[in-house]
Amino acid sequence: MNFSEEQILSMAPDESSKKSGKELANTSKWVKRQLSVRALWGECQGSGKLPYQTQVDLVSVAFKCSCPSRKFPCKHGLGLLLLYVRDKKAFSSAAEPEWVTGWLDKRGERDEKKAEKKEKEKKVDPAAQAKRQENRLKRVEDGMMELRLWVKDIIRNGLLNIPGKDPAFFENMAKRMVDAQAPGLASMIRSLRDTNFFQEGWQSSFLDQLLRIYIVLDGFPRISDLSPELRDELKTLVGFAQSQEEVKAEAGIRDDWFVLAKRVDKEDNLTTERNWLYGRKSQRYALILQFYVNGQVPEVNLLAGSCVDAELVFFKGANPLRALIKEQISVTSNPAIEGLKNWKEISLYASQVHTINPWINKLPVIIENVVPVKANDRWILRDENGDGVMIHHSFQNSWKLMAISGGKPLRIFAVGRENNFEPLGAWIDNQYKMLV
Amino acid sequence: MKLWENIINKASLGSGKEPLKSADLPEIIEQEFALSDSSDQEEDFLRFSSLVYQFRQAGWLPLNFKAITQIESENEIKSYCSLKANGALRAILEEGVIPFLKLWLKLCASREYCVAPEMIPELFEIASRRKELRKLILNVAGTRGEWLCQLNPQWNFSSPSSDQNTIWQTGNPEERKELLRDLRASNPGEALELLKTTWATEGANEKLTYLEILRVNLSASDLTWLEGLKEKGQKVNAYILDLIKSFPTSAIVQEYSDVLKNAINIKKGKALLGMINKTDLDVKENLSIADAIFKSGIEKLSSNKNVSDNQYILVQLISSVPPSFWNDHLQLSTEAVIQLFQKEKQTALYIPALAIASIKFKVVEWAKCILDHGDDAIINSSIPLLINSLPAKDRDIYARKWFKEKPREIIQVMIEHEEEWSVDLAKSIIQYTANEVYAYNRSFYRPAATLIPLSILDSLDSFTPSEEQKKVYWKTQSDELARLLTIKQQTLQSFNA
Repeated sequence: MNFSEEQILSMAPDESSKKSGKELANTSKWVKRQLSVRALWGECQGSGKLPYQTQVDLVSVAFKCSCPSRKFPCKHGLGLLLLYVRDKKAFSSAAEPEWVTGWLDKRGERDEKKAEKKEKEKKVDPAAQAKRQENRLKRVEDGMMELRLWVKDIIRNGLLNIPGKDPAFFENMAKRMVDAQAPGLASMIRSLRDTNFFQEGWQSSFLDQLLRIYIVLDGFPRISDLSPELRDELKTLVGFAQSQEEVKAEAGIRDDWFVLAKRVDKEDNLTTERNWLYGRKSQRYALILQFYVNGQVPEVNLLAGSCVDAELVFFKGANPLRALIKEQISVTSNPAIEGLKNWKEISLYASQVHTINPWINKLPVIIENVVPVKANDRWILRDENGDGVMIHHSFQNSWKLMAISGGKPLRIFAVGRENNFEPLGAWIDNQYKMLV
Repeated sequence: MKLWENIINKASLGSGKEPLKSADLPEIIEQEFALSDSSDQEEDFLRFSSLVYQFRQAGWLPLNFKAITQIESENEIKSYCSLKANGALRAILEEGVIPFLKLWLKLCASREYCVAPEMIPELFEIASRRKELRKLILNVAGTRGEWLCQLNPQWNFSSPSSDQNTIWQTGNPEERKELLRDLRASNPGEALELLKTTWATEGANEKLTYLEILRVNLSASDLTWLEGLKEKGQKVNAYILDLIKSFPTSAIVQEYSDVLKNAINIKKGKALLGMINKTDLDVKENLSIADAIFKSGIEKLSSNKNVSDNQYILVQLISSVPPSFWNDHLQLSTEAVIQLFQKEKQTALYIPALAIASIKFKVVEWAKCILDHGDDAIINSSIPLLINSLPAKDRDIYARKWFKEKPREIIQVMIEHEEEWSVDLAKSIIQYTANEVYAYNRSFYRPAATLIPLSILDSLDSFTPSEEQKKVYWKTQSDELARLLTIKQQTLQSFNA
């Protein structure tokens, strides 16, 4: 396992944990430092009488510590893993003690128990369930009628009035959709609210989103005429959630999944984690989404720039990107990855995707031989044919990308649409560098 | 896509004012629109613009940027530093500890490595804020750094915008100051010649600034020029005189020496009924002194009631002549001169003046001798200054020796220098600062950590304040110091591997 310090520190819950983790990445702080094939563990003398027992699962990167900290991972976990990355010789191979074996085995059992529990919960009355579905559908349809009127009002009165609207204008309709049991639509409305009205050309992205909502509204009454994939996609967009257990019950794709990027957004108490993955053999992109509140432990720890041998199962939909990790087998060495040759190929690929799924907003792409170029205060990603796209204005690390490139072509991982992409990673001499 | 722009314009105004027309749509959709019999303008707008939206999305093409040119960076000549070194640099930048950054940059340059390209923009941002780091950063930025400097005008500090003379003639005060300072450090003579070209036209404040720069690397050629200057400004004249007085060979120092030759001499006599020889200093305090001496900055009146006016004049003169004068004049060793001055209360008052002279003229042997043989008066008045004037190795030895007497002052002196402390001195300082943890906090330890030897890391837990209430605060401090020392260890190991 070859993690970088940067990758490990990216798991820290806050700045102080990062600092404390670094302080503990020192042999003098650890009474015991040992490892096996699947884990490493150590004992750190804290303020209590007995040293804290800290352990790290090396297969699916998880932490456990006997310290009283509520942070996850705690400073001891981070410190131990940092120390391992810095100085592997500081750890001696040993048989796993009982407290390590017990934890690792329990982790495996827990997943099985979860599945069993859900299996029991599944046994519901089908008649009652059908009645519930019918009621919900009625509510959703009523909500959609209101939303359609709201959208038409916007179109009739013009977008120029929108920036002056009170946020409640959007929030009230979003809440109405929640009441109508269509949380997906509520979230689409909130995206409208979050438009940056100070950004030049906001009208275009606003109208795009408004039309996406309209296509959902227009398509839903005719859902039975659609393909099963589009049907699933549409239902998900409205807010009919697919349960993780159902998804996991489907056949997965086992592959070497390279973690291309990890983006963490915190809003109030909720953390949203977006992990972009790419399968070496399947050549598929996957998006692992995780949501957790403060103090909650994310189910999986994925480190950007690392590669995991895992079975992924995709949510149902048209050209779906969102997936779940069904089983993580091991951490593997980074695979050779090849992207599309130029922007014209990307454009063709995007056309194919949009033909299947008109709602897809941002596409993940790996493209070969592009050069970052600065012209007229705009940053461009130009391919070998001289074709290019703009780098998204929110991207802050254009000079870093330029420095990595040195004006020479790079393989880049970017996310975006049409002529606007945000580079999230780049390969230089087969080494992957994260850009965010 | 013009079609989309049209739709945006109409959507901005609202379909109530600007309904969608078939001419606004692509040909392929136009016919469908014509067939629509809906009377609902908004519904029509949404239906057909959503078609255009999908039409646009499915058919986008990349933009053509063939005309834009950009040169490639040259291949790197030096090797890149190791991943470990890169990790250490990242840790330093995250911590924002500039002394460590200096250490890292120096080590990287000394091993002839260059920094990983992705780190250059962050380093250049630091360089644009901190001029003192520019050279160090450029040394490790390699050809990639040079290339980036050409692309980003804000980082264009690698190549001087114009030649020296142009900067000196037309540059802003800051640029001129920087040029003179750099030149004085690398080529003192050339710096003087450059200053001479515009000296007559400079204002008083600029003259003072440039004279201060000249203080570095003073030489005989500066003296000739300084002695020949005739200035109107009082402050400028006083500064010039002060510079001249720092030359042992200057006329004014010779005049002071002549006065002292007459004023202080050896007086030999007999003691114990003539059985032993006795040597004392004979001080003639009531000498008539030429007015020129007083015009050179020697004051006539003492402000200390325990020191007479005549004694005060002698104190000033003694502190203005090189201490080696006394070895020649009295024909005695340094130790013997000091002992002779200390022998009587009347002459012991001149010892601090001897200390000042040894500091002013940078005479290490005298400074050490005063520290070894000086009396309490010296300890109280001049220890930090004397220690400060010593070379690194001696400074550490004497700092350890006198630490207990003047801990605060010695810490103040030692933190100003860049040389690593000895283990013993570091231990003394850490133990003292642990007891005074409220005064020596984070702002002290961040720069101090570069001076503390790594071996302290293993024994850091052994330092603890004697007062119970300070222990918790010290623990935080000690943890921070451990983290900083670990970064230092990482830095050193990564370049020594």
